[in-house]
Amino acid sequence: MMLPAQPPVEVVDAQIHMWEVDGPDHPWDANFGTEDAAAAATRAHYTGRIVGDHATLTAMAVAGVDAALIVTPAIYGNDNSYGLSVVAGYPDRFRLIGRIDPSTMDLEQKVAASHGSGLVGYRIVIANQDSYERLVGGYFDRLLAAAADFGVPICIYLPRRVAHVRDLSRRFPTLSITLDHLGLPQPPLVQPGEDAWESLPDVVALAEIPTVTVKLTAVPTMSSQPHPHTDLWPYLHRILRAFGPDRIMWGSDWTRPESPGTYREGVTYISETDELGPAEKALVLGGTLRHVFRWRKVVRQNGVSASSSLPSCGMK
Amino acid sequence: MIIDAQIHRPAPALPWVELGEGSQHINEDAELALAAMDAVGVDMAIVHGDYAFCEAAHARYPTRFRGIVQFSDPFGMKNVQDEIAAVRGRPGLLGFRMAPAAPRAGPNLLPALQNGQLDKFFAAAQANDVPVLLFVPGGLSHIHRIARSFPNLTLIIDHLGLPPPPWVPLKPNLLDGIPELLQRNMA
Repeated sequence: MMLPAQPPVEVVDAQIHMWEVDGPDHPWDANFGTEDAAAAATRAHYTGRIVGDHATLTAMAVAGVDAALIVTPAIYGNDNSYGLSVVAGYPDRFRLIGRIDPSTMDLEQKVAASHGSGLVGYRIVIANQDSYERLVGGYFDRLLAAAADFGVPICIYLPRRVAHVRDLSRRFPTLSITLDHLGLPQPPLVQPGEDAWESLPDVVALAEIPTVTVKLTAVPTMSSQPHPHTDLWPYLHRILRAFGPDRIMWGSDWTRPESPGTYREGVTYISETDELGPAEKALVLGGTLRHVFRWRKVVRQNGVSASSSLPSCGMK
Repeated sequence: MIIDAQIHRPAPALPWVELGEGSQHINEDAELALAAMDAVGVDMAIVHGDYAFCEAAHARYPTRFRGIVQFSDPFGMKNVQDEIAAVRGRPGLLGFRMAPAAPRAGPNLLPALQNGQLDKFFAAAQANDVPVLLFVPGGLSHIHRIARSFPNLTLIIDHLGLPPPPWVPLKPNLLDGIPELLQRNMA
């Protein structure tokens, strides 16, 4: 007997970057890339390729990605205007995770104004000692409080110090916190001889906090095997068991230079694996993201659009 | 390594973008092509287009793109010998293409291909070791004559020499012309 064909699973990418040529409409941060060699290399990455809306949509079509969260790249500093313009142009395809100066005067107004703007969350990157000390010293508290008050999720990348999220969630118990990149160090941040999975127990322990979710992004960079990266699954199963698929969001981190394979392969190691069932894939590849970031899927029939209901899953 | 032997600018084409004073200008279609290639793992591609697009794509991504310049109006060329002799000296260019049966502009050139009016292009290409790509659906029989007349010419037949959709409707006997392509000695 022929089994009925499975409907295609919607694929929503939890993290991509895009940018256009430096210009008056969306000027780049002139200071970015002047700090050190690593920053200069990152600036060269953005100069060497221009990955704007057309190129990104083409890549997504080829890779089988239906929609995506744009994360404002560092080259724009705290200016989210380019990403917002792309969201406005393709509202069915994109939403934005923005960056913001936590000391800005009208921070609360800006966070409150996020709703309906296409900006569905803010990102904080704590990848060195200086930024960690700022975090511990309360530099981000106004942002975290405003985000909690206005129900705007915060994506935080806190490699090696991920356990600190427990403190944040205790102080801001209603804040939706998403751990970027599994909460673990990824290339090029992994030091020589370092076990990138060393703090996996700290990540798993955070699963008991119901407001914490996980972005399963750029994980092929942590594999020592070629696609389909089967060496990742013992680790991924630990995270899946702890959080459940309704708190995990797949993403590619498209344009990341360290990614070992193609964008398409960055999808299929999850979408075509036998390690997950269809229901789990539907959540990890998009359902969870739509719920966490309150991004309703628009279903178009005969040219008429109608919002579908949110996925039935709930955050634990 | 995977090299795509033929890609084009999409239609409608995207605009040129100035990268800054004194710097190269870029073509957004080249960025788009590269994004698509990276999404599936194509290492290099040969773009088919005008001089400007071929050279811009190669200049910006010299390890990813080479070009085949498409002569959309061959008879509008001022000096056939000089222009073809210069093709291989232009950055990134590998050869030229003509599409006699399906020109972008102007008349169907299959009669010109048949009666020898295009032979000066082949002679110049042979003399300067410039590969020639021909899109000649329905004109395969002429290729035998050209190949015999210019034995040292690198002649590449596009798309199996057959009429691909949308030039003809997709139908089951689309590959009926294959025996003609494979025929070694056509009178």
